[in-house]
Amino acid sequence: MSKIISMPLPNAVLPWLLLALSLSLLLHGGYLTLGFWSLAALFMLWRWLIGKGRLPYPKKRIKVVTVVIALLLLASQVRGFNLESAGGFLLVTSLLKLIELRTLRDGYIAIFLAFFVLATGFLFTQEMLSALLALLVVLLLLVCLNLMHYSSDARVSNKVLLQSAAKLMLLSLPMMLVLYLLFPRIGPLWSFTLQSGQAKTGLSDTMAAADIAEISQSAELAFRASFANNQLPARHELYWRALVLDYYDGRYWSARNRSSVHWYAGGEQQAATDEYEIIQEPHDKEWLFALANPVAAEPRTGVTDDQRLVSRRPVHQRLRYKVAKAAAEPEAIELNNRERRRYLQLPANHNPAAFAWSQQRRQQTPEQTAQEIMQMFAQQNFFYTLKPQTYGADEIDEFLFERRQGFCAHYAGAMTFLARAAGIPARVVTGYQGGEWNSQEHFLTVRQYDAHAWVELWFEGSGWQHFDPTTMVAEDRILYGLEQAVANEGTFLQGQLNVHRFKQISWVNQLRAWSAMAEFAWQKWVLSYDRERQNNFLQSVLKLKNYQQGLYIIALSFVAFFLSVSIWLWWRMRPKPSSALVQAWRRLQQQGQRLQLPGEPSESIDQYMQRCSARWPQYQTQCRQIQELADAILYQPQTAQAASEGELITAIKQLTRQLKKQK
Amino acid sequence: MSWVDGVRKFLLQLWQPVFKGWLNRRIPATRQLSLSHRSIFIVPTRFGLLYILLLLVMLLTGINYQNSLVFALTFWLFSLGLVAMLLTFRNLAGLQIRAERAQPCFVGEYTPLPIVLSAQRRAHEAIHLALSQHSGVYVRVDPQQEQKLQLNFFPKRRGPLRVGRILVESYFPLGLFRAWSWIQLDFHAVIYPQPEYTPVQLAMSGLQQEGEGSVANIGEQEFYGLRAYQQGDSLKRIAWKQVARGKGLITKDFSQEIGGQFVFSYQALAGLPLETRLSRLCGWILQAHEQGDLYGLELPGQSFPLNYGYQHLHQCLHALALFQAAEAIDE
Repeated sequence: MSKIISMPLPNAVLPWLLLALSLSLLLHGGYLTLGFWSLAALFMLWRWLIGKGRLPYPKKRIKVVTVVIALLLLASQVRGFNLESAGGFLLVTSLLKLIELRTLRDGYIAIFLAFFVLATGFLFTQEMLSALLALLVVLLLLVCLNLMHYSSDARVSNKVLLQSAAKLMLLSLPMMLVLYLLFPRIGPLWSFTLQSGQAKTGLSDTMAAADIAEISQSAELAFRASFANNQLPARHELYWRALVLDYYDGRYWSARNRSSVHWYAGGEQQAATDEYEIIQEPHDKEWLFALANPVAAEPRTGVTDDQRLVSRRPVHQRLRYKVAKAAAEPEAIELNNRERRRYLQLPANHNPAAFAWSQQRRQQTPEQTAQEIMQMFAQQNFFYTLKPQTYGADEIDEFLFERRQGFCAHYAGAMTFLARAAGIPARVVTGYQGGEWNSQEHFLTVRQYDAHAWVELWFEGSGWQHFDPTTMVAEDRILYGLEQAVANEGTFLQGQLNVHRFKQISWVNQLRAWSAMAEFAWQKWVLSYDRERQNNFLQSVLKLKNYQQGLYIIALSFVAFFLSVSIWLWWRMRPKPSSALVQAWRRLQQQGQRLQLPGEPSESIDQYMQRCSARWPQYQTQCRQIQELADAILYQPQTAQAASEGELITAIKQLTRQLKKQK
Repeated sequence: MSWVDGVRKFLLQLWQPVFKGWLNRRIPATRQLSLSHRSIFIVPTRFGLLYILLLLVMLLTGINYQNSLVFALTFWLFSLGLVAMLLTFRNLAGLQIRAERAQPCFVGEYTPLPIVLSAQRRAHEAIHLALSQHSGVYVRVDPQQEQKLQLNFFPKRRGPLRVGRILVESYFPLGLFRAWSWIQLDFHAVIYPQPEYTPVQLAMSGLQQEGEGSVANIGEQEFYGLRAYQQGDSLKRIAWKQVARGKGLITKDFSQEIGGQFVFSYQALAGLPLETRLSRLCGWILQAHEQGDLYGLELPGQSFPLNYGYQHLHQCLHALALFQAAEAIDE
């Protein structure tokens, strides 16, 4: 091996390797800056020219300088120690390896690095397309490995190379599936894993109007939901609660208080009905999404005091979880003094006009006041827009009494302020509203532009009640989604070339539905195959009780794999059954051996018979006959009749019988 | 790290005889053989080990990030490794190797060992054959075709040609595994002693001392040159040594055609070591042949009367080669 690995890398490997590496870079494309791309292009071009013989292999000094420059560039492109910077470092390493790619050894290392680049790419993107791309890269890298082991003078066509690589992949598919389905999915081995440093689009735990306006511009997926009986709840029930914002500082609404959590402990489902399942995109936060009155139905999730669903750990990976809806409406809870203070909090000396408006209504019942606020939004000249001009210091006053332009965050914020000023405990709830229902596959797609904010007011005797002031202004927002609500404004997904802009065209819609379906199936069956799903699979499909049996199956399938291959190999190489003639001859020689006249391996029938007749003159005639028959069959096959072989066998058998009697 | 090497050497010394004995039982010397699971060994290469390490790191990544696609890729690569192992094995399995009869040659000369590779059903890619210590050849074997090749062998001892084990190995298709076999082929050839050229006249003095045999008609003759054999040329004038090397029939031209008669005797060289004696005899025989003389050979227990010709030459050289020859094997 030591001699072989220092042999030069065949030049034919280079184009394949460069192609594979550049394709695997695409998986990392999400965070790669222009600097990275140009560095990659430069290194590849450099290595290409070396391969063409236009440039020499770099000397040590040049290599050192290159490494330093590349690392400096890397340091300038990344911020902090996170997943992206680690990925960038890996990429730079594999690019640097390119320029000193000389021997087979370097080839192996470059190819293995490329495999790892591919694997880490999946930490950034898990789309179906990425997976297909990765398959292609694996194929190309297999071609590289394979090319390294043809004899140097062999001319192999690209087609043959691709075919044999594809054959390899197909042959290994069954084993891979067994491992994928049965290999125990244990939890993370250590809790600190490098996380992505990129902020994800989505809700945040402080609400400034501008934030929601910004995420409304994003068509990124937030989560998908499917329901137990494939029945979409009524649209006005589709309020996906994520956060409760209880603190207002005059500018931002934020979640200040940590509420206590009732973690899932099993058995909660009895009190619940209507399970639904959510596949949530990672957002690096603890909060999950659930409809009103959630009951945790999944280990490591829980429900807070303020009726939110949360996870024990931040959601760094796509997460799949079940939620149930409480069977009965929760009993009207009483607020203690601390809670009452919390939900009545207002900053001092802000929005005096709005405060005064509420003060006048202190004598009314809270229900009346709430109704009056809602009526105000409906009857006065309020206008729904995603692009209101920036408001000043007393933004609620300005919004309510002067400009009257805004979107959900403005309406929810203003209503909560008014309610609190009137002495009604109130809070802003943010989350998502609605979603896009796929009626063929029965799932709901909720995107970032479905983000919404609404209000909950606490009434003596009936507890927290849900109000959505935005409906008073833009009913479409709830009935048909944001798209309709801002249809005239043209602000929906402005500036993005996106299929969502072509929703009116039917075939685009059809394509969109298909790709959504495929993507959903991909997430449901591939990406979210985790410990829970594996357990389900083991129990329901394979009827296994636990992992242990799964491990037995893995072991058994290994044994079966090797056994079947061994049997196949043995079958291919089994000795050919010897003909009747050979068997008869062998038996004759066995007798000869017993009588101290062993046959020599190189001896012909003729020679052996001569020795036999010399030893036993009484059998001379039989020997003579065998000689003649053998001579006729073996050396004049054209004239010999088929029957004469039978005669020869009979003659040999006869002689054998006679020899048997010999002592 | 010298002590490591020392330990390694020591262990090797302990291990080697055991291994060789086992190997001799498992893969005995033959004229031809077909490689099968009995004769093929397979282990991961160091890159196979590195590959396993890579897979472990990938598995850890998959576990810690709970990433299904990383799991899938890891398992796929692992299964690929297993399949590669089988294919590497398969690339050797079923390969048929046959030793052709090697030409006799002299100690101290490279001799080509003719080997024929063939396959029944499928092609075998990038098969590496080598005598240990020597760099070998890479060949591809197509099904139903014979692939002929030669390994250069440098014999160090006279006697029956005993080539050490020949390495047949393959890293194909991915280089993650190395499948190999140590085969012992029987080429059915003998190695003649290394000729030592001393004037033929010395043989006479030896004879005179011993007082046996006779020498007559030592004529002076001048070697003129070599030319291709023509029909009708005397057998005495054929350059036998060239023939023995497989260079075809070549006739020697002499300015004067005077033949001689010699009987070369082992006894005449008493006092010299065995090998030197045989080398001298070999040299004389070859010279006598080149000169087209009549000659005979006397060894203890064997004697070859005065004669000439190709057959006679090889009989004599053969007798020299096998005379008290050791049964050792050249590696």
